[in-house]
Amino acid sequence: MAKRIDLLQGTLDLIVLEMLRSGPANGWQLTQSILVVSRGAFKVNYGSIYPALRRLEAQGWVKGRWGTTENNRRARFYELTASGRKQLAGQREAWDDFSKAIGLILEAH
Amino acid sequence: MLARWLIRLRAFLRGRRVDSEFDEELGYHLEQQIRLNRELGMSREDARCAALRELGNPLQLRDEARETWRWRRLDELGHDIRYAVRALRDHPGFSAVAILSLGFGIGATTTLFSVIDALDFRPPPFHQPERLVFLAELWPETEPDCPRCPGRTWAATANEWRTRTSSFEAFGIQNDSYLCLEDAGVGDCPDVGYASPGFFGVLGVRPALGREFLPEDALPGAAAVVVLSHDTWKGRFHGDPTVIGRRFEYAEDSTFSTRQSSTIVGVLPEGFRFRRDNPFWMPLTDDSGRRDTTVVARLKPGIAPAAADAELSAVHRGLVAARPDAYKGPDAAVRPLREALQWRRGEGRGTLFAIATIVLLIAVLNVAGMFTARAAARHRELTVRRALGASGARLVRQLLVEGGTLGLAGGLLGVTMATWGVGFASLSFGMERNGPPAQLDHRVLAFATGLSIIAGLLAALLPAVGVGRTDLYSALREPAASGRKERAGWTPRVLLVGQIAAGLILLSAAGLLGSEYLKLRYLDVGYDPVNVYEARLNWPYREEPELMRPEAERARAMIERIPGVVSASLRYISGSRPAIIRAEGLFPGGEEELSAPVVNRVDADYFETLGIRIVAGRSFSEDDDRSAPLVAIVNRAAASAYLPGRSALGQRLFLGDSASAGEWVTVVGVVEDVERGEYVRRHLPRLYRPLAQSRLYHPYITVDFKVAESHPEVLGMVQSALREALGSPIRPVTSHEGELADKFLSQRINAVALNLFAAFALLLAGVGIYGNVAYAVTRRTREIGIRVALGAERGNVLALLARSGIAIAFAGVTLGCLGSLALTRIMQSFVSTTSVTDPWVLGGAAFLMASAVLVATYLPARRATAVDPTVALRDQ
Repeated sequence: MAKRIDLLQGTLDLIVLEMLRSGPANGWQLTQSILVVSRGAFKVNYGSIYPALRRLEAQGWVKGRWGTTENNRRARFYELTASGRKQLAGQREAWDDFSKAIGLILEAH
Repeated sequence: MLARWLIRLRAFLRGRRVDSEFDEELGYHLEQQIRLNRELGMSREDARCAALRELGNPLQLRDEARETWRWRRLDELGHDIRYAVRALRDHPGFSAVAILSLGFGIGATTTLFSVIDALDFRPPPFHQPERLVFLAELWPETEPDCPRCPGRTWAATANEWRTRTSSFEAFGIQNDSYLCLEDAGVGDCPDVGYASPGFFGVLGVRPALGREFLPEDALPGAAAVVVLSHDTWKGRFHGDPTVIGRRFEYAEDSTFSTRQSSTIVGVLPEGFRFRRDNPFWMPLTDDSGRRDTTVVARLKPGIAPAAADAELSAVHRGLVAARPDAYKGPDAAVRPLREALQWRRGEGRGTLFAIATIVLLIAVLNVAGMFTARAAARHRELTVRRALGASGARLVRQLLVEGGTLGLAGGLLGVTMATWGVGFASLSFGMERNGPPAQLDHRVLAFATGLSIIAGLLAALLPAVGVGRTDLYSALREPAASGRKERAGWTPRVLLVGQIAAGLILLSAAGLLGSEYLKLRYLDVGYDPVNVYEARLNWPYREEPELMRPEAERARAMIERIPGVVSASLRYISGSRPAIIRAEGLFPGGEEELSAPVVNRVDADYFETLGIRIVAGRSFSEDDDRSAPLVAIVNRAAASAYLPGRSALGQRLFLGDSASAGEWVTVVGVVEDVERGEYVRRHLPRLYRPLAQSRLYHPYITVDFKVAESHPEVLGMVQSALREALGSPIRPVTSHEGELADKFLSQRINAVALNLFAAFALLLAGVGIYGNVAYAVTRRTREIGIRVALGAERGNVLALLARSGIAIAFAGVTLGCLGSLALTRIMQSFVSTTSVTDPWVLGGAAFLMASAVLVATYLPARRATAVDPTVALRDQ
């Protein structure tokens, strides 16, 4: 199993936004897909995902709506908004700069 | 961000729904996790346990998530308020005392603020009051202490100002007088206001019915018109909407000799008052010439008051320079409208307000002390809450909210009390009908609300300071009532000392005012006012007042014959005083310093009727008539002023208008000083001359009569007899006692109010001390038990417990005495007959306060020592 890496603060927002880029999802689905896509590295806890989703919603980057799942259960689905897309692009860029800079430092030494 | 606000708004409006939605969302997640676990092979139980463990604390999750969609502070505030209200309900004793204390203090302060607001702050209720000004001539001679104090202006002068100045767009001229009406044979003379045409328009006041005065109404010979005040319309005319156009009859003066008929043309709006609440208004006619008036004007837009002032001053000085004798004062000024509306009442309002603030302070100190004691008792509860995750700041905020809620509750009570208080204050300050009315309008209410919150916060603040820094662990470990000393030990004691000191200051102030009032009430006014009445008669002989003389004597004799009347006498007041008074044998140079006496012209029965004591010599007799030598009787003050150092009897005095025009009179008697009218504080020299030896200049005379018993029948008979004698309605007779009581009304109300405050302060201090000692004693129950079990004498233990109480009492009383002495100068403005450093008053107050405190110390201590030591030892 891949190593469990601690999520750096602030990156959860980026991850969620990116995951939602491909389409709306509910909280459970998000945690599962993050786990799968990161190949087991990030197991996002309840305690982080829901506050994060609500936070993103408060900022207006995602929109939450009640819907039904495949087995006819009620769940809240989130989807990216236009400003959320913009925010995602910005955060991706910021992340690129950040990781490049770290890379430079590590390589130089 | 709009989205953000919308979300919060939605959550705010549908709070619970949003919470349950979140729970539902979590619930779904949990379900899925359980399902996954089961698929991974766990048993049902394990699956659920594992899932729940991973979830953690759902409540905490919800709280964290909530941050994003709620205004947290608002939420907390709501929670705190509900908690505070519940706490108040759970401790009814505490709450009642606290709310009563604060309510009393806030009520007092609010009442006095309403007075101050009406007189000093509130803009007059007219249209754009900041553009309205008061134009006044300055008379340095009548007000030597205040050369730039505004006086009244002749109407003619005002008219000249109107034509020669350009700063004003409208002028209004007004003065006050009276008219007389007859109701079933009894005459009454209500006030009437005279106003120039358009006067009400200048103020921006529109009549509720009809119209106001037009220029035609003011022309000489115009038909008489009258405008009613709202209250008059509602009262006398029963609110009849058809009152416009009706005739209204009245007499010009109390002789009822000239009757007038006028037409009612308008009714003023409710609540209108200009200087005085005039029931009737009539137009100021153009020929008012030299009548004293109040002049108001509206500034033209863009003109500053200072510029208008400069113009008016220049114009007036120009007028005076051209014709110096035609004007009263040498200069004129533009003043704020407020100065026109006020009468010189409301003196001492600042001091009373300061006193009310002291009362409030005492209440706050008391409540703070109660909070401190309670905070110590809630030590445990608070530390547990901290352990559960509440921050120190949160707890402090909650305590503050408790204080604020308590304050508001007290404020509610206070405002209710103030609704009565304002009525009394209006009476006391003479604001009932004159000057702007004191009322609880929105400004005063806003003040009361703010004050309540501040008072509550202050009361909660002191103990709250200690709470934030409690040491969690040790507080949880120790039992609540241990033998150790409290950390915030000195705060409650300091509060109590402050309370006692402030209370003592109040007590001594109350004592001073009370003794002042008593002295005034039972003042040796120099005569016996009991059952003595006066009737003011106005004979229709304006041209020939001498005709009144025999008729007045006839009336007097008729009254004396009525059964029940003991004696009757005549009194005639001359309008002018002699300009010069000189004693024979005194150096001529001493004249100018002697102040002219009031001269009363009375008949032989006067001193007997009024019960004025004759100190030396004799009263007047029938022999002192026109053919006899001119005599006079002086009062004590006159004797010492004009004839110092020797017996006044037989001395001669010169009374005259100038050094040559006057007469010499011989003093034949000396009487006690009689205090009437406004001059209670000084003994004025007074001279009496026989009526028979006096010239009559006007047809007004007063009949004083004494009855055996104040029976309304007797008074009725006197009244009808006088009406018959005069042939016209007369004003109702008034009682001397009643007038004296009215005069002291203000002092009486102040004394009562202050005594009420002081009693309250005493009670609070007593309760405070009692509570404090009782609480301290409860904490030391164990220690007491040990001591008694080890053989300590009850008395010693008592002394030990009472020691701190006595120390507090001593400190408080000392501080209070010093404070009272320090504030003597302020108190001096209130009392005249009592010395402010009267040792009896101060000593009495100190004694009272100390006794109360000692009793409050003794009682709980005694109760504690009576406890069975085994019970005390067992008690945790």
